[in-house]
Amino acid sequence: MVEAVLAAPAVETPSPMDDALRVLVQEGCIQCNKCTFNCPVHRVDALFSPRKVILQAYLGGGDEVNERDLWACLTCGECQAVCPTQVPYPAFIRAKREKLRDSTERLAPCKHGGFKEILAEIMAKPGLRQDRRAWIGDGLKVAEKGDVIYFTGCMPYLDGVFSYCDSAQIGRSAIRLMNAAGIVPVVANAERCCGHDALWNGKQETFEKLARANAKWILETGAKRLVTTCAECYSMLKYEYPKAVGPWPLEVLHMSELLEELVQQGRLKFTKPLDLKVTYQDPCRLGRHSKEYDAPRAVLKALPGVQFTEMDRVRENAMCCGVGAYSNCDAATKFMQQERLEEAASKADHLVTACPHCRIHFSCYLDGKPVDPLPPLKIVDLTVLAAEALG
Amino acid sequence: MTFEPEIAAFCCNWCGYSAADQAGAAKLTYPSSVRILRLMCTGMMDPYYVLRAFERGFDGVLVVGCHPGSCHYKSGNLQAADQMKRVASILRALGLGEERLLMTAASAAEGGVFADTATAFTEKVRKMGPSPLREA
Repeated sequence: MVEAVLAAPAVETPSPMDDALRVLVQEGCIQCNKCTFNCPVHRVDALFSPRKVILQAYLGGGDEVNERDLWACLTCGECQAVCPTQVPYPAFIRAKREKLRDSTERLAPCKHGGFKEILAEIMAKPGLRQDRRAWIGDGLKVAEKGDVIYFTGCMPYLDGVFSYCDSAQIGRSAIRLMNAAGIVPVVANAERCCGHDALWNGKQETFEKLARANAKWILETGAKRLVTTCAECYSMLKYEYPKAVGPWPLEVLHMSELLEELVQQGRLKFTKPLDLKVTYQDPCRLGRHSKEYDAPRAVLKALPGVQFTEMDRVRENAMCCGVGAYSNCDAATKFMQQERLEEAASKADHLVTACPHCRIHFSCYLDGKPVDPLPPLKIVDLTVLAAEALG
Repeated sequence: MTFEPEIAAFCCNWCGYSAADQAGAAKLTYPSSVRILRLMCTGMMDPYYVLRAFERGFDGVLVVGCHPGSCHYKSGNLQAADQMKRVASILRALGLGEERLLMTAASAAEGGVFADTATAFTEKVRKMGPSPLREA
């Protein structure tokens, strides 16, 4: 069991009282403090320390984590990436959140009033009959049946709350790119939230309901591949759904992986020079959680007129956008965003992300009042940028 | 059993709630299934309140604030109207229908307006039938 957990590619999420998890954390942690030195929250909030949390949880005898530490964690996985013994700290936090949520009705501390969590609860209701494809608009081809599914997740709902970000644009760009390569994707009305926030905020039951509801329609279409533009959906559908719903004969791709493949096969040609200086933000769910670092960079390099520069902290060491699963946004978040955006602005004029939620969190910061004035910087999604290069 | 729509009515302290109070003092009737929740201002209406109400099984959501220009906090009611417009798009996508949400105004003296609105909205929701989210 321990070997199985260590060998798995994604950040593991075992159930709360899982002995393997307990062993990995309790006996795995050597108290070296590397996690704390690398934790993006600790750099701003000196009282938060993953090492201390583990020490207290097991030496305190109570096996408990206080609520502040529980929700301050971004579950970005940077601690696990640098840990010499690979202690699955995010999984440990998730398990503790689940334990807490089982005992209380309170929502996770979301600064948007729990919008995404309530949305997930609503989507888990059996009576739901959605009409969620209004954003597609004219001129784009989608199908009811086919080989490729485009999984949109919560994207059609985001514009109702995050007015400073045109999130539906990501979806339109994705369909445009697929159409240009001769793919007519399935976009289903039966689709529901992927369950990412429910899972990471400790609502295992809601996640399982959503996973079963999604698996039902996905398997019924008989599609062979599923594409998503969201790093969160990607990590759920690829690594968590097989665990929750059993046999999963689909190939799950992030849009960047599909684009890389289409460019390599010559099915997609980018012709319009963009003349931009860009840098790339690794979303935690795509990078550290799913180990996909190269596809988005390959796509950026394939775009004409795009000058790509790496930031200093990239790949495993990439800094988080400041919020994980919408359950933490505070002073620490704002300082992290300021720091990350300054870093990006020093390298380029466009910051590209491959996750709509990174885009929302950074755009929110730019939309409000930055702590210190920032050089002009635009946050764009990889899919939107690629669609622009189509001409 | 006949269907009795459950309505969550978010009323601001200064106008909507006072109007409801006035309706009571004047012995005007409106459906008993309208559940009033008092807010200081409709400007604090979060999309989440509306979604949570539907998630908990309400069939309709009524938001009653001040008339434009007479908000106790200058522009809270206008902010709320803006928010509710955007929430309507969410309700449409969820298949609930934006008609299940109504944002309206009643001044503190308009008990009759409150009672009429509550009655008319309840009847409208009754015609639409129970919220699909109530299905077990």
